[in-house]
Amino acid sequence: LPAHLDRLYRAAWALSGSRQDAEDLVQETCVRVLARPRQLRNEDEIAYLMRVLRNTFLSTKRTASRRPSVITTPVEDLALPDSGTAFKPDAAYEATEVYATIAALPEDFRLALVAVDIVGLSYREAAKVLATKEATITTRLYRARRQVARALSSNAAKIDD
Amino acid sequence: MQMRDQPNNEEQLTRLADETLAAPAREALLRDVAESPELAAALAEQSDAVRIVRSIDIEAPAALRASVTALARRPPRQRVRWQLALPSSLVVGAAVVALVLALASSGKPVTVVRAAHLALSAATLTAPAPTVGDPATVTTAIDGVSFPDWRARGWQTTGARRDRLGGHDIDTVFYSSASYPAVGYSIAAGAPLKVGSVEQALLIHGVRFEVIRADGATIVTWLRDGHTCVLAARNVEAGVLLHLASWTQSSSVT
Repeated sequence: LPAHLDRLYRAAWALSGSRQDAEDLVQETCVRVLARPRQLRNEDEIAYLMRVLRNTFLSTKRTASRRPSVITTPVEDLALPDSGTAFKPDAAYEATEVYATIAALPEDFRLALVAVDIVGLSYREAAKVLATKEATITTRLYRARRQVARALSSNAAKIDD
Repeated sequence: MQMRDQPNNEEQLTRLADETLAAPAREALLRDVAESPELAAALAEQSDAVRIVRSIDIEAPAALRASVTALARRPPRQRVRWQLALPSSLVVGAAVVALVLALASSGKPVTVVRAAHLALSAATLTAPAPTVGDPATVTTAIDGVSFPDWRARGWQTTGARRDRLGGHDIDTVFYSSASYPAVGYSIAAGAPLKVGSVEQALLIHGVRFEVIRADGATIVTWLRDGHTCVLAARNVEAGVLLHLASWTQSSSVT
């Protein structure tokens, strides 16, 4: 699990659109995976993790309305001392913008893009994990990438203006 | 030029952009792209998205990694295998005994709020001294996780206590400043404690801090190396506790 944690975290962030939700999603995914370790034997680990992440994400969405609300305060609002840590604001900003764009995609497009371009599954693996045809994954991926490219290009144009 | 139908173009452009298109089809499509501005634009969009999304290499926060690592280190759930090997009546009997033992030994599950009661209690031990040669810590630590020395911020240690709660060893150090008479800082060994209802959550320098209000106290909790840390006080604003907590997390205290 720790070996795949970074990919899992990025996937969770892109699915949920928020770092806080991504952390919760990864935690819950890991709890589910560790509760049933025998299922890892005959299946590729990262594909299995993506399957559990997807199921956890969908079930979490269904119960989201029953969860306590969590307010996020931007770190800039706190007069914090210098950290001296390896926090990378540029990378974090880029990830925030890109993952927010992905999170705004229709759910099927989002899952296809996360499975292939973030988790790194093949089209065939993604189709199996997402319980659909390989051709469907390809179509969803095409449209997801097109929407992401156009949205990011539009954002960049607004900044230039 | 013989243009392909649109769905076929979409599929092949998708694969061309991430280099999974087989060589013969690739060469044919590249020829089409060279002659069609529309196809070239579509390929550029696909390639841009692939490049941008795949270039993000942001890492999971340290606190999340510590938490998952602690989860992974837990012993496997043996009862799953017992169910395969033992008759169901024995499994039920064993489960009942285990449940009774667990209830007898630990009572209610250990939550952050329960741990915070220790941080709000009186000291039973003398205050720990600053660590010689390390301005960031005092001499008390649990499983290698040290308590901070906040003298540079105007806080002195005033006492300590050591407790055992539901199988968790919990050390607490008490601090005071000119403005605030008492803040308790507890660190619980073992698996992360259950957090419960959170009023506010903040991500500071990649670490998730959660604010809880309970029993008239303000509580801030977060993880350090998989250990649950709890700062609790009465009549102290959450912002003050968050400053202390985040300063600890970002300093050389490990």
